[in-house]
Formats: sequence, structure tokens, C-alpha cells
Amino acid sequence: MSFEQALQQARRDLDQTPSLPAFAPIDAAVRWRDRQRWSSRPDDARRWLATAGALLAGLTMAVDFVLGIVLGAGLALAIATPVVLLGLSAAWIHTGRLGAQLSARAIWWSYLLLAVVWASGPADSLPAAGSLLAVGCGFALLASGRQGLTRAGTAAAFDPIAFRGTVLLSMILALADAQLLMLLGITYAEAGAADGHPAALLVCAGLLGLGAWGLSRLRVWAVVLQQIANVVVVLLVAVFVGRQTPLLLLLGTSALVQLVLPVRMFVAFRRGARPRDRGTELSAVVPTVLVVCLVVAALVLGLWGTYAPSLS
Amino acid sequence: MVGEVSALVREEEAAAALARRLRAGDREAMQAAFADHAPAIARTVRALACLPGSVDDLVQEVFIVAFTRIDTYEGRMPLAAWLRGIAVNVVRNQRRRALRRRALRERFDPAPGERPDTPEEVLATRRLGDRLWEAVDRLPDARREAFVLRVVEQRPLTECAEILGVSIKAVSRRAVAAERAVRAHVEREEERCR
Repeated sequence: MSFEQALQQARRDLDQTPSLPAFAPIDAAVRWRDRQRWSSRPDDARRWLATAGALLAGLTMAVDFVLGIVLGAGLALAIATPVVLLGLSAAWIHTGRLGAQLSARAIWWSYLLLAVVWASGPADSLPAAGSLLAVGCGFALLASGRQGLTRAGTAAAFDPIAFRGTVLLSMILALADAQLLMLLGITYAEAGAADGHPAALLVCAGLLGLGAWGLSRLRVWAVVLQQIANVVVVLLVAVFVGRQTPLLLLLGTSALVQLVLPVRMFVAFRRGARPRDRGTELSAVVPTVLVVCLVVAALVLGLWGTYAPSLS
Repeated sequence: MVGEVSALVREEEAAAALARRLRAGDREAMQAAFADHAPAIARTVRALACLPGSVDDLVQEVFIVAFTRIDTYEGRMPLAAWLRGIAVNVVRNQRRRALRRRALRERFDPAPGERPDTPEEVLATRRLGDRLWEAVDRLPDARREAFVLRVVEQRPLTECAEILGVSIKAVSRRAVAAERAVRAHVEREEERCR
């Protein structure tokens, strides 16, 4: 009986005329958010430039895919995956969703790294194609910049009160590494390499992807999961002692960087210090310089790898 | 019968016309939609947030989100149900943020809070309705939302399912489980009072 009485009383509470907000401040806020939303999204020109870069990179991989089939390389899935991902990234940059914006950047970043490795290969591996891939991915990264990743442009659900830049960077690096690990895992699996540990690579890719998703929901377990996955990646790279490819070394380095990234967060928690609001957005200078350096390196390496043999 | 059908058709046409005007960014249409729906939304928000008092900020946020994303409203469901769906998300986000901030505040600034009331004082001042809100406040998000919409507001199962974006069966199951928990809490508190 008391439950029914309580329910009646609760309904009566709700039936009391509530005070309502005025419409004018709502209207003003809607106009302000509209302006913010549009200004925080990559503007049309930059979005289309990024798309052009992604399509150039995708086209490079598509040509590689066709050549692979013609030459009977037998790694159809491993070569088709980048084509599909780069094609998707060209479309994702046009959406207003944080996940899509982060994924697009992660794809370009991971294939920029792959391109540098590719460009440094021998002449018969078409290093010039690696240079083209680097130009496409670098161009897409520089054109899109930070737009779409700012606080005003992201969903209300992703609103960390501190370390926003660190969390965003962790997500991008985790997604990028997840893709490279997936690509490597698929390649080893398709090539039937007995010592390539494809299953372990694919599991790590899955853990990093799950960790990035968890981070976007601001879950603490996601940080722990990412740390575990990165430790496993470092161990895997160590297992390949003597057989490390440049790509594996890059993955190991990236895993080490990701192990160090959240240290500031842990220290803040340990000290019990209030997190500062400074540096909550991603800094633009360091990534820009890094991307430019990688593109230039890929170009130089690609041209050297293509023309140096004929010169000698 | 024919009159009822034509009235329904007229209602649907009016809703579609309002949706078109809202999508076009018509400020008068927004003001009219706000005037029509704000009281009902405020009632739902107060129930979802377990705050029978004023919730101006949350109601304001619901309409700001709705009007900012009005381009996603296709007019397939009534505007009231669409607004309630947004209200559910806004309250859920607000509760999570409040929880996170409270945890962080306690972690970094464990200042002693206000002197807690004695159990006798608490029991003497709390009304039955307050006990119910207290129990609702402790429910997990999904159950709380189903309980508020289905039991407190007595909305049809189909509408609850539409608002929450889950199946009718899921809403029914959550509402029943929530009601059982709230009933047990209220009756237990009642026993303690005696």
C-alpha cells in the first residue's frame, strides 16, 4: 500500500507547475552552438583537400593491389585492407562525429609511417609508390589539422575535465597502431608465416581498438587495457629479436610512447594534485613538424631508392 | 470514425509541417514548439533526474540540443517523443558528469561535508514521495528511465520503447525490475519508521 501512496505523492510532486526557462537564452545558445559547430568542423576547402590526399593514398594502394594480383603476390586481403580504409577515411572527414574524425587521422598517420618504411625499401619494391602514399597521407593530415577535434566540435559525451589532449592523442595512436597490427597480422596470416604470431598481433589490434573506444567513453579500464596491450606489443617486438622489420620497430616505439603518455595522468592522481586546465587541447606545432619531416623523408628515400640504382 | 481518422491525418500533417519549419530554422516555430512542449518535458526531466524541484538548466539544455540538431528530426515520431528521447540522454549525461565530478572532488578535495542529520531527523522529515525518489535515484540508468516513463508517467509501452530506442520487451522487463526494487525500498523504509 505504501508504495502506491508514495507513487501518488511522487506524481503530485511532478504535477506542481514547474518554473520554466525563458526561450531567449535558449535561442541565443542555439545560434552560438550553430556558429561553433560549423567553425569547428573542417571547412569545405580543407575537408576536400584532405579527401584528395586520402584518395591519392588510396589510389596508390589500389594500383599496388592490382599489381599484386597481376604479379600473383597472393596477399589480396592484406593489400585490399588499406585501400578500403583509406577510402573510408576520405568520407569520414566529412562527418561531424568524433570517432570518425579520430579514425580518419589514425588511418592517415598509420599509413604515413608505413609509407616511410615502404619508401626506404629496395628498388624492386617500388619505393616511389611509398613516397606517393606518404604525400597523400601527409597532405590529408595537414589539410584536416585539428578541426573537428576541438571541444566545441565534439560530442557532449566526450568531455574530459583534464588531460583532453593526452586522451585524444592516446586514442589516435591506439587506433593507428591497431590498424598497422591488423595489417601485419593479416599479412602474416595470408603468407602462412609460422613464426609471425598473426593471432597475437590481431588480438593486440583488437585490444587497442577496444581501449580507444573505452577512452572515448572516458573509462579508466580503457587506460589499463591500452597499457597491457602496449606491453604485449613491446614484448612481441622483442620476441622477433634479429628479425625485426622497420615496421615492427616503429610499432614498438609507438607502443613505448603510448606507455609513457598517461604517466602525467597517473602522477597527478598519485600526488593528489588538481589537474590544470592548461594544454587540454592538442598542440598543433609538433604534429605538423613531425608530419612534414616524415613526408620529406619518404620523398627523399623513395626518389633515392628509385633513381640511385640506375645512377650507379 | 471518419472524423477521428481525418483528425489524425490533420494532426500528422500539422506535425510534418512543424517539422519542416523547424528543420528550416524557423525561430517562430521553435518558440511555438518550446511553448507547447516545455511543461511536459520539464515534468519528465524532473522525474528522470529525481529532482522534484527546479530543473531549469536541464530543460534548457534539452531544447538547446534539440534545436541545434533539429536537422536530424525527420518527423517519423511525434515531436514530444523525440524531445523525450533527448531528455533521457541529457539527464543521463548530466548524472554521469555529476558522478565523475563528485568522485574527483572526493579524491582531490576530501573536505568534510555538512553535518549529516541524525537518523531520527531524516526519518521524521522525509515524506513517502521522497523515499520513492531516493529509491529511483539509486536505480541503474536503464531501469530508472523505464520506471519513470512507464510507471511514474504511465506512458504506453510502445512510446517508452520508441523514446528509449529499445524493444517493448526490454522496457517491460526493466520497468518491472525497477518497480520491484523501488517497492522493496519504500516498504523497507516504511517498516523502519514504525
